[in-house]
Amino acid sequence: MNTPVKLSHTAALILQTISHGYRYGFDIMDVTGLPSGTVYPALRRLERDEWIKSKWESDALVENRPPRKYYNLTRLGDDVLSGAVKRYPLLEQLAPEAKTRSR
Amino acid sequence: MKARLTTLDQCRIILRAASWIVPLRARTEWRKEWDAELSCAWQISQAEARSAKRTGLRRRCCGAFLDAAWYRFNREDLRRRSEHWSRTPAVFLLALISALLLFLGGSGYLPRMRSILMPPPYADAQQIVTVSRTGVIDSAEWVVPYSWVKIWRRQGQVLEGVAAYDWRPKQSVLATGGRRVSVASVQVEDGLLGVFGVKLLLGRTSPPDKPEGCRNCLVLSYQAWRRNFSGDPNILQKRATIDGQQAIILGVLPERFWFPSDDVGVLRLADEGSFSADKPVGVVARLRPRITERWAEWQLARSISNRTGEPFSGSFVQVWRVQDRVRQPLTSYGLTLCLSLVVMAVVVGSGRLNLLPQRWGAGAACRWWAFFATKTSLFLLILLAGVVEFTPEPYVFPRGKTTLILESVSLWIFSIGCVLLLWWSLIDQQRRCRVCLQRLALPAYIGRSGCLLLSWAGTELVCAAGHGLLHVTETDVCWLNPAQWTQLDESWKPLFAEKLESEVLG
Repeated sequence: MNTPVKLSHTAALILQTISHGYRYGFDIMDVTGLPSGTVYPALRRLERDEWIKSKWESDALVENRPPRKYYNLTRLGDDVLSGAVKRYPLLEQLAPEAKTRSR
Repeated sequence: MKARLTTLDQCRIILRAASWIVPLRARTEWRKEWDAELSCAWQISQAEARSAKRTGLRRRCCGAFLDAAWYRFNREDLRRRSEHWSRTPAVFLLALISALLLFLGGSGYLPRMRSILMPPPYADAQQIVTVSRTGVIDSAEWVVPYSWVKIWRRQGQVLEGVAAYDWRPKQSVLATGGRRVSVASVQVEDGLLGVFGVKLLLGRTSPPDKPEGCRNCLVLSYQAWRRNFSGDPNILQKRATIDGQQAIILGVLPERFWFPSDDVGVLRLADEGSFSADKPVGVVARLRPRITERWAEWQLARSISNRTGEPFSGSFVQVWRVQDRVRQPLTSYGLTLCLSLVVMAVVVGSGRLNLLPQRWGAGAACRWWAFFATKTSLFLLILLAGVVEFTPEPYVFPRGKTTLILESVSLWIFSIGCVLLLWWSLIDQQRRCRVCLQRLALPAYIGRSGCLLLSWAGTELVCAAGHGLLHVTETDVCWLNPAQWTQLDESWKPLFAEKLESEVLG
């Protein structure tokens, strides 16, 4: 039997925020109120553990600005988040849904 | 007119500075991600025309340092990096040197070792001897009755001076100027410091009003004076009580003088009347020039036999130079070390450990053995310093027979430590790359132990830089070769170089 992954509250909050459609580092900071020194290292760890994956925006889609890197949940990340939501029931309220979900 | 830096410029400078922390392989992408986020956030803040937003932007960019630090110092990278560096010979030697320096500092610059190796702080040290009785199986072996000291005092043709001391130091409470300290004290005859010919650091050995000596006059050791009285020079001639008895502090001994052991903080000077005739005491004497120890032994034993009728059956008087006694433990350690080195040479010569260079140039062989010698010497120095400074002090002045056990404890610790260290040093050397001296890594079990008779089974280790492989047999049996080194040729190098670059060097 697989042992459920124990996620820290910060990591769970970031996963939840990404799953709600906030996919860029600065957007995650805006929504969660967490500082960049917390969000970015957490994103690196989540990506290393293959719970999220990053992609670069296509040049064709952006105007007057460089392409940004965005993050998406993987299938594994989804499973981990489900477990985390059970552990932290208030997560749903802390991270509101984005107006345009793009997952 | 100087142009002011905009918030965007300041943020870019911050990001550029932080990017230097990021390892080279990830730096470009890291900068690209942060620059893109910054541009986007800047555009939004311009559109909203909010200065608070711009200040927040600077703060966010400062967080880039933590992000960059994660890349550089995250746990996995650190672990890999530390594993890599710990295998290198330079780091290994540096660690040993650091440990040695730590020992030096921790022990206060090896006070015991210095007292053994440096000349003592008194004149004609070769003339100072201990006089004891050996071969007596009772509780007071080594010590003699005080009445013998009175007889020897009249041996003017053999001894220039002789003094007795109580061989059992005791813990005393010394109180002076409202300060109470607990120190080890020992009662000595007031002529003892004269026999040594030691010059006090401060004060004198007799009070000015009683030049012939006094009862309960105290002389402090240098360490006790510094530790308990903060090196106060006004401590002299102060009234004190020791174990409730009135006393006066007369002087302070020089730094490297200790008697009869370095944990004794106070010498209680006492006159002849303080010692009863049958009290067992230790004896220190100063030989006249050109008198040998053997001659002195014979003369002193004869004088006792003549005066008291002591037959000395099975026992004898022993005269032993203090300097030789002080250095005796080092001689014992040296002999033990020589013995261990001989055993090590036999082990290396037997060929059961694969240590001897194969098809090497003189330079490589020199480097190999120089590393082995340096590593082993540093290990042994640390062991020696540890044993001398931190084990029970070696026996020097007669203190009854109990110290014999303590003496052997330190020797045993040194002997066992010596064998273990030398053995470990050999095994460590065997498991190092014959080219770069890095400790071999990635152990892999090869073969099946059940098929030992039919095929080879054991552990295979590899040099992380790809110089070669070491095969260590699972069982040391005569029909199998011991550990075997296989040198890899240049064609293997790219494979290992790539791995190194990605895993370690970043």
